[in-house]
Amino acid sequence: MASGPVVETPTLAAGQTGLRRRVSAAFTTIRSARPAVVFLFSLLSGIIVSAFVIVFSVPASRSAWGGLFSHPAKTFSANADTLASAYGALLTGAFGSPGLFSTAITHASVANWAAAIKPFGSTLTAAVPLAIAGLGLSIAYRSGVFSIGAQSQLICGAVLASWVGFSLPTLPMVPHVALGLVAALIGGALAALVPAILKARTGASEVIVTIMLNYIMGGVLIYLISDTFFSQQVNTSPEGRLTLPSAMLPLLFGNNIPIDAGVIVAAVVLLGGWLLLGRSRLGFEFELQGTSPGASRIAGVRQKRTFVMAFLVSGAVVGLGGGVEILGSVHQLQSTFGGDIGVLAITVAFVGRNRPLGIMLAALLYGVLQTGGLQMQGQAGVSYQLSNVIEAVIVLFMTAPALVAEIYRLRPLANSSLRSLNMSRGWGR
Amino acid sequence: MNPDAPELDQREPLVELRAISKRYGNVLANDDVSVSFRAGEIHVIVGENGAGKSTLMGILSGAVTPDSGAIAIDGAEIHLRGSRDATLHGIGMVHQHFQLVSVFTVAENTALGFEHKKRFKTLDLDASKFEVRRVSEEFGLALDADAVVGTLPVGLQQRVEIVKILMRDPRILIFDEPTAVLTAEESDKLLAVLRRLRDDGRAIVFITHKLREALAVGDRITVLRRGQVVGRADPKSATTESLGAMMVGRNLRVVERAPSESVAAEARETVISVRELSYAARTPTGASVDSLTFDVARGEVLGIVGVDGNGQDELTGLLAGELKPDAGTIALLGRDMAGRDVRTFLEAGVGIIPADRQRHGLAMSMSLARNLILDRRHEPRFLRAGGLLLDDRAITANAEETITRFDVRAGGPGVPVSSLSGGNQQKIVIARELERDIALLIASQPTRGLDVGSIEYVHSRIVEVAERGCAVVLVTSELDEALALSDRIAPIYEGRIVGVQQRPFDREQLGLMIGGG
Ligand SMILES: Nc1ncnc2c1ncn2[C@@H]1O[C@H](COP(=O)(O)OP(=O)(O)OP(=O)(O)O)[C@@H](O)[C@H]1O
Ligand SMILES: [Mg+2]
Repeated sequence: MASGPVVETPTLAAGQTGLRRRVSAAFTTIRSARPAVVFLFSLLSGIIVSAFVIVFSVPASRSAWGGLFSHPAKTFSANADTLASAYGALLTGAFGSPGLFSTAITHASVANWAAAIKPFGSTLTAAVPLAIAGLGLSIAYRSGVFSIGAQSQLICGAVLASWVGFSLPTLPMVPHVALGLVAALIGGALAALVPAILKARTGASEVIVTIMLNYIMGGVLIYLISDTFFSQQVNTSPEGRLTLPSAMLPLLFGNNIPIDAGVIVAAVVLLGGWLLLGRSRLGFEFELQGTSPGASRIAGVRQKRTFVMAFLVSGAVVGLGGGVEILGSVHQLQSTFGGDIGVLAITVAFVGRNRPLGIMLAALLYGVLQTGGLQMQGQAGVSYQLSNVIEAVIVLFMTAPALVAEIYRLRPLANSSLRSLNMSRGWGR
Repeated sequence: MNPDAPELDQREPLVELRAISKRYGNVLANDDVSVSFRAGEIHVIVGENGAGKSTLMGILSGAVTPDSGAIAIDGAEIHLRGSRDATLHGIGMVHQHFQLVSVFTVAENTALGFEHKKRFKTLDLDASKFEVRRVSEEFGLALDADAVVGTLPVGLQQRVEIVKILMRDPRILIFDEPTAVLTAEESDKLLAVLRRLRDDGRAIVFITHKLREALAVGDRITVLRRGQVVGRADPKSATTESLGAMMVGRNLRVVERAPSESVAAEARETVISVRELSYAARTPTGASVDSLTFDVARGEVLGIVGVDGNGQDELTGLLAGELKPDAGTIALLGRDMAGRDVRTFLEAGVGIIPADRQRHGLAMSMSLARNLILDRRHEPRFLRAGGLLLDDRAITANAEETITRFDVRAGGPGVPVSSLSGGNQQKIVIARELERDIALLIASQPTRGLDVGSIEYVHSRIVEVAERGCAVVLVTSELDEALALSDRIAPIYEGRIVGVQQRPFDREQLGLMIGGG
């Protein structure tokens, strides 16, 4: 009978050197449709598409297109100038300008360094609530809970945190801040409790319920800051009362650099999320229910309880994001609070593929686009909305990995089921 | 044994696979495989689970890119960049796991990817429907072109796959384990279709684990093991034993419970006691269960045999606590389990091997190691930090142990379980349940899709677990399996148990009872 030991034949052609093999392996990695690669190419696409929007939105470069055939070089340089100044402003706005850094190095002083680091500090501050809320949402998404309710949870977290923050004037800083953050967690969980219970009891779609709850909480917020003790009766436009200094998240590097303890909270949340989702038993049950509802049932996961639990944990973390935003940067409730972050957090969770590391990077990217976008408007005359265009285009490409793979000729991964978000699901078999 | 069967004729092969190799991580799925297929022949490929059969056929059908090697049709090498290319070259494949959109109708499914267009490029479904009717009439594969695929039973879904492929009039047809999901009767019909397609002058590649089928229908048999061609057999002279031995590389023994093991079952303690259990179907494709009553004692195997869809899934769902009965009681070791959930059943010592391993037995995207603890996640040995965190080191060690003990062919504890071949996936489920501390094992179609070696293995584990004193409810559609392992057999038909038989069994009569006679 024909048999024999398994002989492993080398699949790569003989004669390839180690270096060549490594280079070709690296190339294979770049050309394969892994999530990170798809992300980078989506980013690239976003930058390219936005470039067109930018050159056509700025009068100088737009009018230069008129002379495309008579003075092609001029058209080209005008467009290049516009792009360089726009993207240059975006980068310096987000990371700081090289000029200030070199001044800080040559004339080292606290003030110079503060000026150099300031833009990046703003980027970090913008990224913090996004990272926290994005991570909170990822807990829901990985558990098969399709929550759109970040806005309502952010508002609830912020309202409770703000309440703690402007009351209790006698409390010292550490307990005051801690109490504020705990209040934010509770607020977020409370906002999640409503859709969670409705779904578990009646099967109502959490997508719809959370969207509606966003509107309701938006209204409640405006009521609170116009007509109740939350309101600061100074301006005609409704505003909440100011957080007491003892409840503000302390600045980490002195008064000149806008980096507050929210960064630490975000780091703890990301780490905690990684532990919960990747290492804990509860997270294992969440994920099991999210990815394989059938198998989780047979494995004895109590579905409704797990669903409610995942929703509450997720809501609490998102609420914490709202609290950090209040106690860390804005210090008072405003009528539009939670809207932007609520939507962006969904994007961040999605772009970060619901993984803590991915969420951190996505939050940073969006922080860069937010702060850099402001600078782009101020310095290069490009509308701030354009950074939203970049954001949107990136997401657009990310949602269609097959499209990105096709455009850039990426090779599909063996066994790749590019995992997508789970839309709402009922309780039936 | 004759490793090189005599050539049937000297015609040139229609398709040649030349020195194909394919590696997944550290698994060499195909290792320098060369085979050729001739027109007018049924070429059977057999081999253990994970031998690389599906991979090889995936390569031939353009779905998988080989690392090296070539494909030639009529002597000319072709280059496949996807399954569409393969279709255009006249290659069609009926997959092991169907590739159908369940919310689409039959006609829509068959049109997918090769839509007929009207003017202005709008979809011409009528043309597709016409095609479906033409093909299904021509080959005697009756189908309703307007039926929604998700509502069809498995046998008909497969028929949709076949019709879809025949519509493109392929010269080479690949069937990857088509009979694994079919009843005996449906299988016979399918084999007749295969013969007919062969007589049309097409090349047929047929993969199966049922060696009897291989011998009955094959003109030529190739055996794969661990990615390599280890032999060829002539269906005229080979036997199921010789073929099985060639597949697994050793002689197989038939596992059968010795009659002595089953004496005095009544004297032992009853583990599960089911009384008047009823459950009405909730969905159009579901079945009902109608006042079932039976007991299973320690060390006893009760075989519940029947054609799929006669209430077996519902019965196992009820016995696992997944479904709530409309009427009747279940008692486990004297404890009333009415209204309890799956978790309570598991904790009371029930082990479950579900019929649909991919949907109910495994979390396909999770690692092999984690799949081994799905329902063992509360055991302290897999936990640390006071039960809050999973102890990944212990989980990996457990997986490594299981991989060796159960001879799982996989890339390691960390690979996603979706990368395992069907048989190896089943081994994961079985290993997990048998390693728990159970008093009752509910094994539903435990050997579906498994190779002969794995079947031998699973059977011996079931006998072993019964000998240890576990009660076993074996739900199967294979009468032979029930005959070999059971102490008593209860045929199930339309949700009712139609008379229980003790050893020695009357095969003929059981066969009739399964059919409702
Ligand atoms: N996409 C993949 N990623 C990683 N490994 C894979 C993949 N597909 C197959 N393998 C591995 O390649 C080997 C061959 O798998 P294949 O599916 O071809 O086996 P098979 O002979 O069809 O088995 P079965 O009879 O169980 O269907 C297995 O060890 C399997 O784990
Ligand atoms: Mg296979």
